[in-house]
Amino acid sequence: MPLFYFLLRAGRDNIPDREGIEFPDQETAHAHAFAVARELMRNREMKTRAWRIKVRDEDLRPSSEVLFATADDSIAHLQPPYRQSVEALSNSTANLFDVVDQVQMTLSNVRETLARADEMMAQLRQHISEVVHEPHPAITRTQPALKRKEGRP
Amino acid sequence: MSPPAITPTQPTAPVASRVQNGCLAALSPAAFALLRPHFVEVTMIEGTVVWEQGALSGDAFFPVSALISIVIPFETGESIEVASIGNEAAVCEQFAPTPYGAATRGYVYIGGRCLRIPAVQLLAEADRNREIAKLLEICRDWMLAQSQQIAACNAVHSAEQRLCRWLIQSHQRLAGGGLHATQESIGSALGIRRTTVTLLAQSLQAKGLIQYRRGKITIADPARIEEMACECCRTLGRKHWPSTRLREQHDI
Repeated sequence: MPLFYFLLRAGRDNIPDREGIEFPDQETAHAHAFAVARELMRNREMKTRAWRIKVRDEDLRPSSEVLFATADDSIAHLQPPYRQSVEALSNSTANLFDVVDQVQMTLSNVRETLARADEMMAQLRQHISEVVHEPHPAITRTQPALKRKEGRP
Repeated sequence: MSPPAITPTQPTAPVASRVQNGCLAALSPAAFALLRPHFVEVTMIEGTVVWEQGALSGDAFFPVSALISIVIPFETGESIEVASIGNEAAVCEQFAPTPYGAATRGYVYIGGRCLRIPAVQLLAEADRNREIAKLLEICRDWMLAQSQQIAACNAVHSAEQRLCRWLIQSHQRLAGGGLHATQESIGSALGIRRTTVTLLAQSLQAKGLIQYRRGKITIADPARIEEMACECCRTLGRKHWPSTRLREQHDI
C-alpha cells in the first residue's frame, strides 16, 4: 500500500508527521487528514480555522490539502453562503501566512546576497590595496642602483 | 516462550515498596501490619490486562512504579481512558462494583512494580480497621472523581490541552522520570488518532517543551506544559491525590 505523509501548517509553523501511514489510495489518505483536522481543531475552532493539513505521497509530492474551516462542525448550522464566506476568509488568511513566509524568505535571501556582496567588495578592496601598495618589480630593481648613484661623491 | 505478564518478585510485601506507594506510606504501622501478610510484590509488563470488561477481578493493586489505565472499550475496538492510577492510590475493579461485572477494562499502561493483594482480604481488613476502610473510600472517590472530570474534559477541552494534561499527570506520578509510551497508546488513551498525537507532540517538541526519542518522552518544561494543559490538570492535581488526603488526615 502507498505511504502518505501529513504536514500541518499551523499559522506560519510547519509541523511534519515524519512517520507517515499506509493507505490504499489518495481518497482514504485525504479522509484521514480530514478526521485529524477535526480532532486538532475541536474546542478551539476560532483559532484554527486557517490551519491546513497537506497530504504528501511517499515521494513527498503534494497529494491533497484540508483547510480546517472545511472540517469545522461549529459552523455547520450556517447557511451555505455564510459558511462559504468563513471558508474563503480562512483560506485567504492561510494564503496570507504563506505570502508573509515567502516575503520573509525573500528578505532573508536578499540579506544573505547583500552580506555576500559586502564580503566580496571587502576582498576586492583588500586586493586593490595590496596591488597599489606593492612596489613595482621594475622600481624595486632600479632602487638599489639609484641608491648606489646617490651614494657616489 | 514469552515472559509471564505478572511476575511475583517478592514472596512477601517489602517495606521499601510500601513507602513508594503514597497510600500505603500514609497508613499507620498497625494498619499496614494487617495488610502486609497478604501482599505480594509483582512486576507487571506494559499492556497486561488487569481486569476485563464484564469480568470480576480478584485482586487489588497498589502501584509502586507502574501506571494502570482504566478504559471504556467500544465495539469498534477503540477505547478511551476514564481514569489512571499510579503510586498515589490503589486500584481494584471491585472499588466500583456493578451487578453486571466491570464496566471498564484495567490494563498496565506503563510497566513496573505493584503490590498485589486479594480483594477479598483487602475488603475484609477494611471491615475490621477504620483506617483501611478510609483508604478504600478515598481510592474509590478518586476513581469516581477522575471519571467525572475526564468525561467533561473529553467533551470540552482541545486535544492539545488534554495531551498536556495527560503528560503532566503521568510525569507527576512517575516522579519526573522519562515516560515510555508510544504515540499510538497515547492516542488510544485520549481517544484521538496517532497522527493527531504526532503532530501535537512535534509542535511541543519544536517549542522545546518535550523531547521524544525512541518511544521515551521527557518533559523539558513542566511548568509551561502545565500552563498549556486544561484546568483538569489542577482539579486532578497532587493536592487531590488519595495519598495527599490520607496524609492530611493523619496530620490532623
